[in-house]
Amino acid sequence: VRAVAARSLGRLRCAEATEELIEAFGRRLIPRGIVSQALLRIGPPGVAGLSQALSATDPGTRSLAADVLGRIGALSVAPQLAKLAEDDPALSARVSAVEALGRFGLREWTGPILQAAGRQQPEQLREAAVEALGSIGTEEASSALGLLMGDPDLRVGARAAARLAEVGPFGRAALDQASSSTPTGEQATRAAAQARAALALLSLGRRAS
Amino acid sequence: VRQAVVTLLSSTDWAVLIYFLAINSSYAGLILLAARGFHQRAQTLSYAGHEDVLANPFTPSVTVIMPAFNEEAVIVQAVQAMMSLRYPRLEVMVVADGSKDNTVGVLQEAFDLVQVPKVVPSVIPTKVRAKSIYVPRSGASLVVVTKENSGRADSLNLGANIASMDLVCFVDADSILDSEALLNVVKPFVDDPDLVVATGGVVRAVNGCTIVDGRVARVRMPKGSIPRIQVVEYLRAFLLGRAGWSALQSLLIISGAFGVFRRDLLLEVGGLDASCIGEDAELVVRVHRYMREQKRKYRIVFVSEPVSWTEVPVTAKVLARQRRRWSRGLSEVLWRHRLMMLNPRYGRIGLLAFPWFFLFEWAAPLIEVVAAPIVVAGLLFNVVNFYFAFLFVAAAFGYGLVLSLASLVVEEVSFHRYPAWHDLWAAAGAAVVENFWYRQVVAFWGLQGIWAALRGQEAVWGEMTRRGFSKEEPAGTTG
Repeated sequence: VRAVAARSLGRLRCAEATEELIEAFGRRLIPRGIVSQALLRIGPPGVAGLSQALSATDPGTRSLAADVLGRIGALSVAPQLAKLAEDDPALSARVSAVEALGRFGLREWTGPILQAAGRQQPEQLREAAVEALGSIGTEEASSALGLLMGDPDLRVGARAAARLAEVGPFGRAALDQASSSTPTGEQATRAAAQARAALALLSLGRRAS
Repeated sequence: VRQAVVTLLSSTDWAVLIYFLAINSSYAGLILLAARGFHQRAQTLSYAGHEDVLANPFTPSVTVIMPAFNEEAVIVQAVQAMMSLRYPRLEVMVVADGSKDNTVGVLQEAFDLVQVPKVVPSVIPTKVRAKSIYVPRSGASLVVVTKENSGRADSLNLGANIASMDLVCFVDADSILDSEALLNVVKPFVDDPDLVVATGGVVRAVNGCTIVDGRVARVRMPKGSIPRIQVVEYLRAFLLGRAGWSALQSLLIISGAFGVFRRDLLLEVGGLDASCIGEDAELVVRVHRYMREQKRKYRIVFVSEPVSWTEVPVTAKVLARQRRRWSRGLSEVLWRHRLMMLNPRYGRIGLLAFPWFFLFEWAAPLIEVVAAPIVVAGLLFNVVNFYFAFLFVAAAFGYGLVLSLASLVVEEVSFHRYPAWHDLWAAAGAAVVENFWYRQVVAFWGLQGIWAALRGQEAVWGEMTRRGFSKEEPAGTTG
């Protein structure tokens, strides 16, 4: 009954229900997927309630709020999301915040995303950061992706190459350079292999991963 | 000596009688739980949000991994059927496991494949590496991986390493999925992405059904008693049994023919154990164990509606091989994870599901095979009277028959998959026959599987001849 009520509130775009929906999720009365979809349907009128939830004590609630705000495109909460991405104690909240910043695609938030892509960070966060850098697609982001292509974590490297293939001239240039130069050292060898794979798939008109 | 034999037989006879009452009563409980779940599902179906899954931005992406060994006859139709499943973000991956036939060749021709230099991570250790990776020139979301033959589990692990989507779905190359199957089996992940880590769909027997364009167009009962009995058996054990265990949040088996796992968790737990012949069940048990040891909340869900249709053995020889393998697989799973048995640390998995599977699945062949001779011996030695013999037949066979018939009724009321009356009568007939020779023979094969496991014999999968589903005619009449 609660799940059906949440779906209905979302379909009615009932902004007054935002806080109740978030609270119901916080108490795990309604599963995350159902609440997320309802809040996404409510859209911008629910941003105030969602931005408050970014400082909730429950990490799951912070993660949910960041995820939905990113999908709504609530640019006004980008500073809060950047802070969450940098120093939230919960990995899930950090991942959601990085994904949200990536969805915004704004160059001024490249800093927290680069930090999340650091080698000492958890793999899940790094993968989210690589995707986000690809969405931003600036020269700075492309350079970072170029370095990440040679990452010892081959999944991160493959994602970086795939995103470079999609970011236009900067990315294409980075891929061409990595694939054509004679690699010296393990990192460059890995980067060259990833670049060749991404270029091959790019020539077929499909995403590299 | 006679007195000792009499005492032994007397006590054993009653123990056997109680055992059969207990096993059948536990099945009755599972059937009731499943029936309650199906009833609730029917009541909430119209507003459960199934229609939302297709357009929901939170719906996770899926890689369907299909290991293929000598599947030339069915592979193109199988891939086409998988690629036409209703699902928003889908990648189909065929892992050609060193086929001796032209499996890769027919795929190359049908999908205009080109080789790409993809870098393959090895998060899950595999016995062999990918030899080559192909994708269609058209850009369609298909990946074909070739490798040396190393078995189904190793192929699936390699596929999981290469997969790029959020979820991985394991299917067999001869599996036929209903067009909505993936949407339905993924729905628990969409609703509750925090908790749901794996789901399994029901597997039904495709023999006798009419297949058109890789889909089951008409559901019919197969000809021949062996596949017919398996239809009833699959309904009772796979549909109702697993739905019952899922209701108890203690599902231990997700069929390899149709199971979905969160990719990140699959990589975290190390994928399938290629050294275990019951690798599907072993993976599910390992996930339970891992999540409970990590004190993480999770759910493994059985979804009764999405259907994967699979060809069941039609000959005693192939069926025997399959059942020996299942029995051996269960032995290995119970032994490897014996630490969980009756261990409160593992909650209802350790305290309920594990003991049940040990007592009523693993030990059942032993009891089944020795029970009848013991009762006959009891009659010969005048240890038991005809009243006891009647009780035994009622508990062991009558009760079993009632359960099989009850399964048919629950299936018919809940899903109504067999539209023709004569098919239902055929199923009811199979339920009767099942109790009077099939169960005992299958139990004997199960015992052979246990013996092989105890002796540590090398496990062999064996081959099952497929006839292909391309023609518009009933499937599985040969094989």
